[in-house]
Amino acid sequence: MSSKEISVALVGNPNTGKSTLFNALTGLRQKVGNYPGVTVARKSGRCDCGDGLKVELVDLPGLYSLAAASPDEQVVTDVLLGSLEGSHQPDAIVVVLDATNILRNLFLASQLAELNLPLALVLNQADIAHKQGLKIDTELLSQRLGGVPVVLTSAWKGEGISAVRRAIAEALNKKTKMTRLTWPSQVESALNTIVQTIEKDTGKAPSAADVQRILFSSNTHTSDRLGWSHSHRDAVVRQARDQVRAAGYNPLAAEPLIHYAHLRKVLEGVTVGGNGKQGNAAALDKVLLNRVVGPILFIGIMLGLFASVFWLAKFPMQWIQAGVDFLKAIVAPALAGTPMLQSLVTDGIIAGVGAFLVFLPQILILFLFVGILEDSGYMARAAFIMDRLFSWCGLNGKSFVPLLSGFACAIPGLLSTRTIEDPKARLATAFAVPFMSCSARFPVYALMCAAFIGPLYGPGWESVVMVGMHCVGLIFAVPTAFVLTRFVLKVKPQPFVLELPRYQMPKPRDVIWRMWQNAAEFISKAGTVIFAITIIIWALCYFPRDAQMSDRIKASEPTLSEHELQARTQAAMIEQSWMGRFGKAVQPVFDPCGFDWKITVGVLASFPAREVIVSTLGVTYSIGKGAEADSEHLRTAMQEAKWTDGPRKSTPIFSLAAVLALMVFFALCSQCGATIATLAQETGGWKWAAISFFYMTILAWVMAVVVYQVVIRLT
Amino acid sequence: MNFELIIISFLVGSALGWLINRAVKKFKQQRAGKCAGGCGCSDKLKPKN
Repeated sequence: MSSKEISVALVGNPNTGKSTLFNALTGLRQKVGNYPGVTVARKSGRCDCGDGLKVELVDLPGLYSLAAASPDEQVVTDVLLGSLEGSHQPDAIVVVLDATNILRNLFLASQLAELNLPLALVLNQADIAHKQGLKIDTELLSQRLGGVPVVLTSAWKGEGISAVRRAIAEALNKKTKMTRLTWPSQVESALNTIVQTIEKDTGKAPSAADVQRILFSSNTHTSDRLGWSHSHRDAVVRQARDQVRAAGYNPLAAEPLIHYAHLRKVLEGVTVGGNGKQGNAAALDKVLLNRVVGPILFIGIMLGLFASVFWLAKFPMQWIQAGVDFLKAIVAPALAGTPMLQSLVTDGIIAGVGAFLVFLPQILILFLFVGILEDSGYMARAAFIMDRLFSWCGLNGKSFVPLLSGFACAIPGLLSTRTIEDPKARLATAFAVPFMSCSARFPVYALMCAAFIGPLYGPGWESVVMVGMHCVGLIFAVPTAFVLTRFVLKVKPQPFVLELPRYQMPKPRDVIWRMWQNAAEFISKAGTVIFAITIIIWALCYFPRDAQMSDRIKASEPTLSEHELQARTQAAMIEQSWMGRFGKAVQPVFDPCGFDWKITVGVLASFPAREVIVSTLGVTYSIGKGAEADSEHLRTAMQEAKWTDGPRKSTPIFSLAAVLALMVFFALCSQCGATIATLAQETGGWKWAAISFFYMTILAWVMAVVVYQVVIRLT
Repeated sequence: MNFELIIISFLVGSALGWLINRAVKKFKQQRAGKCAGGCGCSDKLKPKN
């Protein structure tokens, strides 16, 4: 076998540090998290195990047992059994265990032993076990398990990584297999009954692991996969289960009971000490998870987070603005001989991309704080607090992780719905995920808050409005999910089991890396999609040009000064441009929301990606201003913009009512092509994606109208 | 048509072409079962059964 073909699967319970170990072994930077559901699909990388042995290491979603219930668990069992499209069965398995909870983690390893593949055990988080005074005799454990390599590591500290490489090499070279447990005779006989029948019916001998799944699991996935769907199947399984019952076990609970009895014997004398001291953590949990104090603290933390984002980002934003202005000041005179090109570069590209890039410091600081909250273990506590709300509206408790991921980006949120077993609950969660306020909405809120809320009501209100806007999606997702789960899909309530991670100091390297990943994506978007869109928006706002426009205005109003004439000409030019004509034609639809034609254009241009509105407004408010327009200009121009006709003539376009309506519209509208495509992919068709798009968009319009009409009457 | 307009047409055409090409690529990617988003998510795996 060539080294290229060797693959090793990394398997273990959720939250044992598999992805951290994977990153340490492969040098890759896969997203890691301390709550289940971060890894929802197979990820692979190359690992050098020494002596020229290079293997493909496959990081798999965490699971507690081989009895797969959810799609992500199904991926793991399919990979391990080699029944996954485009992959073969791994040549060895590395089981990652939490060193502080070996017994529970060994259950999966014990099930994996039935696959009869070379195996190595990695007892991760050894530093915490050491802190708890737990001593582990790895040699004795290895001996008891039939000589499989057992190593202690602390992946997040980078300790013991070489030992893992050696263990992988040893498992592959010596084909080390873990001792399989001896089943009680009646259970063994029940398993044999199934083996013989399948062999007779299909002509192929099933693996021990497959037969155990058929006997001990309530679903028929394994027998279906083996092509064993003969009419007598159910009767044979029933008869085998009766044999298990005769041995004094409930067939569906027998497997863990027998495994744990075996493992308790294996672990005798292997672990010494370990008082499991979690005194401070328990006290902290009492406060953070309190029914009353917990939610209040959660809101307080979120308020503090957004206030810090605004406060800390203020100066870096000014520096970026200064940089953009400097660039404009250099470029504009250089292109003075070619006014059209000058307008494209300064009013289009620099104004549009600059208006977007200015928000980079806020994005960086936001993800820095979110990373700290995640790594410290608080986010999983937040999941626990929010579960009360979700269980009320009928969503599965597991919905929190997808919804939480949705606050960064809806796409990973939609992918992590695969952790939910019940397909109806999965669909309801997938429908709710796009309501979460993703980071693409952030620049829209930030622009509105900085231009209107802060100057009007003080900086403190910026963070209040920010938190409010992040809650808007949630406020509408909850009743939507309630109706969907109770009346449309009729989802049965299911208990939520979440393993709370221990509190820890966030690791700066991981937090900074995650922050950088988000920043890189933001910058790359500015340099690609936003760049291309600003060029097109500029062209649509610039053409067609009427060379006689200035003369006609001068003829009708001869008293205008040169400066006024230029301003009036530019305004008239943009109004008769293609974009101006289109915006004016569509504007009546958005008139009840208080949007003028420029906002309407911004809203429509944002349907493929919502952050496009910032650069679109940057272009539409910059055309014709040339070098005079600095980055602050967008805010100033928006503050000064007034209605030029109709009943609102001479009143500000961006009134408090219009600003709030615009933010609410963006909070609720389905403006992301990639999200709609992923929703279609995850729900297995375009039906739910189309329902989601129309529902969210109509809801956004209705709520924007309500907000505008109510606030305009109150102010 | 003057030189300036030729450059502008080229830039606008390139931007439009690039955006269309990107959208088509993403659509094909999504149809092939891969991630259609740009959020760093990995490929989707399809179980055989």
